[in-house]
Formats: sequence, C-alpha cells, structure tokens
Amino acid sequence: MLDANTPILELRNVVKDFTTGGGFAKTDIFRALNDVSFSIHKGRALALVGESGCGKSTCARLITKIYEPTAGEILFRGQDITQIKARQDVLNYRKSVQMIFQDPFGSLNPTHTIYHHLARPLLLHRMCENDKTKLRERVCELLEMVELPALTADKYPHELSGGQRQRVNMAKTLAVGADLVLADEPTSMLDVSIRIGVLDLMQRMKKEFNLGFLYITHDLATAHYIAEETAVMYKGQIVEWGDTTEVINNPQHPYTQLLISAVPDPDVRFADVVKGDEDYSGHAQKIREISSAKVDQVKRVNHNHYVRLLAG
Amino acid sequence: MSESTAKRPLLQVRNLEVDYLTQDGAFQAVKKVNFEIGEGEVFGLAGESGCGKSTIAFAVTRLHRPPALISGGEIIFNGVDVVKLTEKQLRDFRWTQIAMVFQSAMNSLNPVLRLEEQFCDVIMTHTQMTREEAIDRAEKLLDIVKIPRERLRDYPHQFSGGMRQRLVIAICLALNAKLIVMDEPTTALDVVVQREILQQIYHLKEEFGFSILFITHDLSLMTQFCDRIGVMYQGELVEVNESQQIRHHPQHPYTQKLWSAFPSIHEGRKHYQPTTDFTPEVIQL
Repeated sequence: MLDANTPILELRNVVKDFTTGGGFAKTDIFRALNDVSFSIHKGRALALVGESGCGKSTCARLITKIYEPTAGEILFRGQDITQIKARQDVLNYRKSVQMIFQDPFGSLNPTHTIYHHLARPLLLHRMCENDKTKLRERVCELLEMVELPALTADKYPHELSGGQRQRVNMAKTLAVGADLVLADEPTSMLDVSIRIGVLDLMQRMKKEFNLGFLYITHDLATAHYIAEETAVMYKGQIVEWGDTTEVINNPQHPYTQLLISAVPDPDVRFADVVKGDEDYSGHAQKIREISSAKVDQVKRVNHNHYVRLLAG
Repeated sequence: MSESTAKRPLLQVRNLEVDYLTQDGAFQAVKKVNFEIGEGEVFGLAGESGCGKSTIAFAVTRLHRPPALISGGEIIFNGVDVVKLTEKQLRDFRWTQIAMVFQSAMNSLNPVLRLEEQFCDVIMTHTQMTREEAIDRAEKLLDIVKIPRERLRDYPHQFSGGMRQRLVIAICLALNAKLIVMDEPTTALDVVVQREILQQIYHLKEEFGFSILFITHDLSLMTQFCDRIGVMYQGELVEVNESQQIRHHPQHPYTQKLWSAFPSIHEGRKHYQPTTDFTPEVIQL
C-alpha cells in the first residue's frame, strides 16, 4: 500500500463546521471548509492560495490535529489521522508533521537561546543522546544546514533578524526529521530582500531532505516561486488546482483570474490599469458572489489542471 | 531649475538628517536626504525595513518622537520650513496641509468612538464648522470612498480591514490636504483589496489633485503607482528617478539587487504557450 506514489498526506472531501454564537445568542453554523481534497507528495510543495478567512489556515489546523474534521478524512501515509490516539503515536505524528508560522517574532521563546530551541526537540523526540557535546555538535550541524553560523546557537531570538529566526524554525523541522512541513505564510512578515533567501532554503530542504511542503499564502508570487502545484481557495472551497505554471499562466476560474490580475505588474502603468477596468470593485464583488456557491462539477482543463465550474 | 516642464515643487526636502539618540551615541537613520515632490505628483520611497523610509515619513509631518531628532536640513512645504514650526503652528498645519495614512492604518481608528465622532473631531478642530455641518461633510466623504452613509454610526470593529483603510483615507481627505503621506497603506491587505483601494486613491487624486508620498517595500506596485521613485539604502537616498527608468535602467547596484529579489509572475504569462494535446472534460464529483 505504501508505494512511492502514496502521498504523505491526503485530504479527502474534508468539511469543517464551526459553531458561532451560543449562550444567549442564537447558534449558527459556519462552514469553514467545504469538501476540500488535495494531496502532498514527498519532495514537492503544494501552495494553498487565497484571501484571509478563506479557510487555508483551517486546513493546517486540521492537519496538525488541533481541530477534528466534521466530515471527510485526512490520511497520513494512508492512515486516517483521527485514528491516531495513543500518546506515542500522536508524538510520532507531531514529529513528522511540523509547522512554520507567519510571525517569526512570536514563534521563538524570547527567554531562551537558539541552542535551547533546537536541543529541546532533539531530546523530546529522542533524535539525539542526552550528551552535551553531542547535542551541541548536532545543533551546530543543523544551523549550518540552514546557512546560519554556529555561533548563532548562543544568541537569543531578539538578536536575530526575521529571516534568521525563520531559518531557526526551519532548523527545528530538520532537527526532528519531519516528513511534511506546514508553512503558514512563512515569508509574509519578512523583507522582500530576505524573502528570496528563505524561499531558496525551503527549495533546498525540499530537494535535499525530500520534505513535502504545504505552503499557505495569499501571495501568488511566492507560491509561484516555491510550489510545483497550486490550489486556489475561496470561501472554504478549492476553486482551481493543478500545476502552478498552468494555474498561473492559464487561469480558468474567474476568482483565480481576479487574484492574478490584482498582482501588480511593474510594466503596466497604473493609469492604464484603471482604464482597463474602471469599475474594478464592482467586478470583484460580482466575482466573489458567483464564486461562493458550492458546485460539484469540475472541468479538467489539462493533464494536471482542474477548475470548479460556476453555479447555474 | 532647468526642467521647465517640471511641476512646481510642493515639498522640498533638503539635506535632511534624522538621528536616533541611543546609549552608544547618535545613530543617523536618515543621512543628508534630498528630494522634492511636485504638485499632483506621486513620489515613492522604496527600500528594506530599517532603511529610514518611515523615519522620513514621520519627519515630514514632524510626528517623530524622541529619541528621534531632526539634526539637520530643511523640509520646505509650500514655502514654509516645517522644521521651524511651533507646536501650535504644527497643529494647524497637520491635516489641512499634510495628512497621513500609516502602516496598519486600520488600527489607527479609535475603537471606542463611533466614526461620526472621529470625523467630527478632525473637522471641528480645524474648521469653524458646526457639528451638523461636520456630519454632512463626513457623509460626503463616505460617499467618496464608497461606504454607505448610515454606517457613520458604527464602530471601527464593525468594518473589514479594507473598509477601515478606506475610512482612514476618507478622514485624510476631510480638510483637502495638499499632500498625503501613505506609509505601507495596503501591506496588511490581500491583493484584490489592495487593488480596489489603490484604484480609489487614484481616482481621488485625479479629482482633487493632491500629491502623495507613497512608501512601500513592493517595488512592482511602486513602479506601477508612482511617477518618480527614490530608493533608500541604510539611510541614504541612493537613486532617484522616473519610475520607468528605475524599472528598466536601474543605476545603483542596490536598486538592481532589489529588482532581482523578486521574479514577477507576469513574466511567464507573457510567453505562455497552451498545450494542445489535451481535450478538456467535465467531471462530476
């Protein structure tokens, strides 16, 4: 069953409902994910693209077992993750599936050195003997892998830049030998000039360590840079998915087209952009409305390029 | 000035120096910076964080707080040196002459006041208008940024991020300021909303003719939106030019590096060849 083609992680028709209100207010059900399916393979990255509130981070939370899906299943190497219950199994699962968060300033403990941040997961997951020299050796090795000098180990988070902190977070995923990294907007808080270095490092991790990435972002440009496949999400539904180059160069769904047209093109003057579509807000609103409905029909546009049809 | 075609400068920044006083002496964040902004012009300041671009934005409006200190230079706005204004003169100067939209401007609205109050506050402090007149003006401002008038009675948390950003812009327009300083006005918003807001700013600029000092780290957006761009690096303005020149003939190595820092998604789209060996099919899930 576990052949080379089995994805590391697969979501099958996942639905997630949240209950809002309660108490004295009337309760309401909000469907955050509506029939979401995708899979992530070793050594490849899938970009999940969409505006804030579309459900992309909810996917990551379901995968990390923070939430349970309302319906559908999430398979990790073919095994349903809701069945992972024993403490040791959960620990192993958490070891294999690591997260990198958006805010590099909030994701490291300011009172501890970088050494602590890397040595702790090594011990916790028994990736290294509890021996000072061996631990230090391993920590330095990890720092080297993410292109940080060994003396970073004795620094505190506040002494590092955002990019360097994000590299420490990546070293952490390498420390525990993760198979899958869920990267939730890992570069959106970084400077443009540093962003590319962090993305290049992710690219390297993908190739050298055969890691699978779920890259969550609202920025198509970085998705395009890092991911082989892209899924565009809107209101809890994946509206278009497939090879990144196909999705970006030949977008079929009006929402994908809207997203792409909104990415600034330095070669077109804004005056011409405005002339091209005087009532941009109006059109954007219409597209949002027609894209919200749940549809079960999908058009396969190319070998690996699918688009959800519009209602009606 | 040899360029007779150049518009009359509205703002002239000459040899501006801003220091931050630290325990180890002064840190010069802005080093002898010179630029000017013409009437109705959109001028952009680009550069990475910490390069001093926001410090300039604060200095131009004299909103910098200690330990920041203007240690030298002049900021001439419409013939008046902003650096020499007294506190009282400054109060009259802000909003009526220069208005500001800050980074995460959506958080710059007071959460416990209805919008009505916040509009009236700005308008009544600076003009002789009565409350009724001020509300009338506020309603017209909401029309301009396309937010329904009745929402004036709402609190900031009842609006989305993009709407709050538009509200801040509406307040900026309240007193017909001649220059609007926009420091990363759309950074926290997603691209579609960003485009909606910029398009609105563009229309407003065409209509009211104000100038904009536009600050962002997104060079593509800046090239698109600005007439001229200044590139900053470690407190110095290393290159100033027309945006198309910056795009196609960047002179300074740092500008060239900034461009190479990001591949545009539009490049590939221009050379895309669709595959022809596949017949699309519809699948029922």
